[in-house]
Amino acid sequence: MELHRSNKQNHTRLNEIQETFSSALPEEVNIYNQAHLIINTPLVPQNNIHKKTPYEIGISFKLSGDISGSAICFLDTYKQDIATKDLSFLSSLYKESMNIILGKIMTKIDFNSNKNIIISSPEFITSTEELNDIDGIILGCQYKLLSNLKELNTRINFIINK
Amino acid sequence: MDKEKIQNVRILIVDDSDFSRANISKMLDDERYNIIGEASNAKEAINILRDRKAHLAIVDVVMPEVSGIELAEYITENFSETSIVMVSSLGQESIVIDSISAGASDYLQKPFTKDDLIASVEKIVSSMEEV
Repeated sequence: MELHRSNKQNHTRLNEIQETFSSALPEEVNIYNQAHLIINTPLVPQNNIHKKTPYEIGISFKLSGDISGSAICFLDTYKQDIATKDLSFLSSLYKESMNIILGKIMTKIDFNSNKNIIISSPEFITSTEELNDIDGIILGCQYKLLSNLKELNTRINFIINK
Repeated sequence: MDKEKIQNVRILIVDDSDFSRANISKMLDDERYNIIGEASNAKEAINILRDRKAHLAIVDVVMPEVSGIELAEYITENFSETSIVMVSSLGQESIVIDSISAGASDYLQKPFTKDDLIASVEKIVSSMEEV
């Protein structure tokens, strides 16, 4: 009986979080006319976060406030021929792009649901160790990053503390 | 605003994102504003302000260690000749209010256009007698 109640509460919490975040995702974001983010797949619950591959640029943000957790973002550069000097610019552009889209999402959540969530400064992810043993609700979606240089896939994962 | 006055406006850019600093710098440079320095955190910003006088500081809200709002409070208390425009990807009303309470004259949510930035700068600078 207790287990059933607990499962039901977890399911309700998952639905509430998914609805809160889904309704705040922008379809498209213009990043200073230097890139566009376009939604590719909707936000869905996940059991885990796939490990960062050697070809992915990883960035993490802490979320704090009425909902806490983190946002983990990966930009896939697999089989993309990117010059070293362009890779540096792309990393910088990607970091700010994720900062902007997450800021927009948190602003919309506050507007829609009156839940105030602050994002931290972004940090590059160098290893995949921190993605193990995640205890929280995991949601993931994908965007396309269209820059002057390339069209790349990016995945955005939210880990929300229970 | 006349070109001579624009060239006299001394501006400091404070943002932990090098992409954002470069972007803001280019927008202002295109209009011939005088950028006196760029800082990636509050400590660097304060060091620049101690060394070089600025009419205006453009300050990002979310930065590591010392936040932009804390920096704005410090600038307001210690560099009263420097006006502040806060910038952030976050647009929650509570953050805008905290920024204005800390002494900011304006708040721009990222991504803003060049026109938005220049309009904000001109509005603040036009009220300065000294420039």
